[in-house]
Amino acid sequence: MELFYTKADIAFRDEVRAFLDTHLPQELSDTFFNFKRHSWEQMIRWHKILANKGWVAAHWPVEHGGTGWTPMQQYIFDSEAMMAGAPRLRPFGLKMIGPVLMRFGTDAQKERFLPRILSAEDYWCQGFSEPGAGSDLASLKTRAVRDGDDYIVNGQKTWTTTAQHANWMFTLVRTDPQAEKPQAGISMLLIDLSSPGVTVRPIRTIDGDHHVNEVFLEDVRVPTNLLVGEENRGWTCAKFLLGNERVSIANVGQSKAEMSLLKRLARDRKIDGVALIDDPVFGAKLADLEADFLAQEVTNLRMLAGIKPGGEVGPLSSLLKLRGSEIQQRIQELAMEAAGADAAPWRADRAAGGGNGDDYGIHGWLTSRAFTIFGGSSEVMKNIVAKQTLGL
Amino acid sequence: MDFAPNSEQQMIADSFAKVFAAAGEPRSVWEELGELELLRLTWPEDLGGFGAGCSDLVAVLSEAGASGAPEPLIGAAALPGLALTRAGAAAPTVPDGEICLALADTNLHLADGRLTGSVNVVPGADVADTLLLCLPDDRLVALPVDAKGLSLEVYELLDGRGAADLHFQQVELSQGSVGGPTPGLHAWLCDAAAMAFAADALGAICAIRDMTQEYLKTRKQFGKTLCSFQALQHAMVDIYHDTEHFLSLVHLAAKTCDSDDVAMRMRAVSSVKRYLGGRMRDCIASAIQLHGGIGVTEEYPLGALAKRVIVADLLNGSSASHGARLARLIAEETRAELNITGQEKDVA
Repeated sequence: MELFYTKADIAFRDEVRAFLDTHLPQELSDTFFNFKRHSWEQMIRWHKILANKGWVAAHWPVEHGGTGWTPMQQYIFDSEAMMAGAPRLRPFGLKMIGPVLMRFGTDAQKERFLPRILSAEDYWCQGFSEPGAGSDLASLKTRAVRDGDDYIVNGQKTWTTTAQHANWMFTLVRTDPQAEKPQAGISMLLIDLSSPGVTVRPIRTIDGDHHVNEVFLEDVRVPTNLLVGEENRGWTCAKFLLGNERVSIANVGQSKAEMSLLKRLARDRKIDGVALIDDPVFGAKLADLEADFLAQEVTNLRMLAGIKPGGEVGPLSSLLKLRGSEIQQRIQELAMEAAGADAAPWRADRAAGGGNGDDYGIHGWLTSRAFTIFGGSSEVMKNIVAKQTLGL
Repeated sequence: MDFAPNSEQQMIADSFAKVFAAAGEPRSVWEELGELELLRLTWPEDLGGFGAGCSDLVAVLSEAGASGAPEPLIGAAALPGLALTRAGAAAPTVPDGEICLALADTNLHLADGRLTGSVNVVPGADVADTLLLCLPDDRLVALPVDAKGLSLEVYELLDGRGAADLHFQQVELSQGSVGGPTPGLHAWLCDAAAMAFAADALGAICAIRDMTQEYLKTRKQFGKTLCSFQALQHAMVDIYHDTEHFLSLVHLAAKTCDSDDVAMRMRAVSSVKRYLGGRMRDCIASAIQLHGGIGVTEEYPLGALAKRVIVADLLNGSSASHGARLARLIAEETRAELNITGQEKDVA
């Protein structure tokens, strides 16, 4: 895709490559190229290396400790890092609450939280979904009642990714149950997960892993200075955040890296002495995946070019989320197929970040089922596009 | 990068649109385009052209596709120009009059300076005075259509555009002007032709998309507009998404045809062809379905546009052969990389 790079883009790419060559620890890239998954500790290690270089907040403005990179540079950095086998940083602080605080937060909130996101002293999780409010997020029931300088919060959050590692949760709560529209009575609170009354319980997913949790909130006191934006206007923050989330879920850089892993897997697997990559039926599936990926890659560049400084992402972002999540699923599906019978044995260490070329695909296939569900299920995304983009 | 045409490309595309809109008044579209020198966009400057590349063509050809114009813009204007420009000093001398590019394949045999066999389904050959024949050995030959031993079987394609089968019976090359070899020319022209028809199809499919969206907003059944039904909304969203991705691929293909990266060009063009034979076929089928009965009538303009997309799908290599080529390219590229997985094994 470097056909579309300017000379300055190429120079930037070379700078990124040189940095990755010297600063990405071999242990981290080995994990990726050996079909294992990065652990939390490995991810934090990489986070700190990037923070040290000043590159951890690729999409933040310089004034807040970001890089000030253009969307194109952010993409180049992301795809180069992924192709080199670097861990993927979690989006919750850097891509979600960070930008929300810059847009809607108080000066005190910015000063308190933004530096700690950069340094990885704080790690954030997202308290949006509830047992009764998944795709229909606006029907959430967690209540926050004002009591002097505090809110008292009661309710339950679910699908809370990395809550077991995080120390803070940005949370949507209902502050006005009488509001005319359900969206109108919602506020965003920042909750310290070490507060009394917070209980985090793991949910095992079908891949055997522990990605997500339930978070129970029982009479949790949250100081009112941890309200983001105005009371009952949390939906505005949430929509801004979800738009960013959808762009990041497209994960074009990661798909690019996983495509190359898949191709290597198909090259090195043999059926009766013939490499799988030369099998006409497998080859045809790989070819169509490649065509879809190329289209996605160029469409992503179109979207990046369409982002005005400080502005919203355009209608292409929903399209990228929809197709991007499908592409990731199909990559894993073919990797599973490539392993054949060797993908069938259940390995106990698989869930602990272990694994190899045999179970890489099946684990990924199971994990990636969630990709067309979280951040707006594909069906909800289509409803949104039908209404907002096509005016149907 | 947003692929909106630049001001010059837009101006040229607008000129085309104006001529298409005023079709037949007072001159034919073809004469009018010739008069405005719009048919020589891709031609070398020393032959009165502008030397435009493939990327410059996308907006113009999309305009043609959207308007349903039957004129042989690709076969008898864009492609011969691209061929002559690419060949440069190695190009044969071409006479005045209409010139159409024909890409010879294994059905045409050259022995002792004579051509025997055929070149089938050559778009634009119906209007040609001279055939610009590209031989598999990368030479161009400018051959008059009335050359001894050459016969043309002229017909309309299913979308109304003209074409011909060319039959060669011991046709002596010396009847025309023979150019020198330009390495890679034949393969490049095959890809450029596929790209050009895809750009035309892009215009048609976008017109189909707009038409379908509008239909859903106005047609009422069960007392409601069709667009209030979720199943139909989702089908329309799929069309929107797939056509946006197709647009990305067409621009990628054009850009790679203008570059020296042969492997990338072949990947991009074969991807476009896979889209035409897969997702785009599904899109036009879905657009017809969303229209209901009116969508299958000859009178309704959707059908003609759909046929235009099908023509782009059927010409310039089958969807299957492009799938196989893409798979081969992926295998070659992956094999060329250092083997670092160390996991070679039989999976049976």
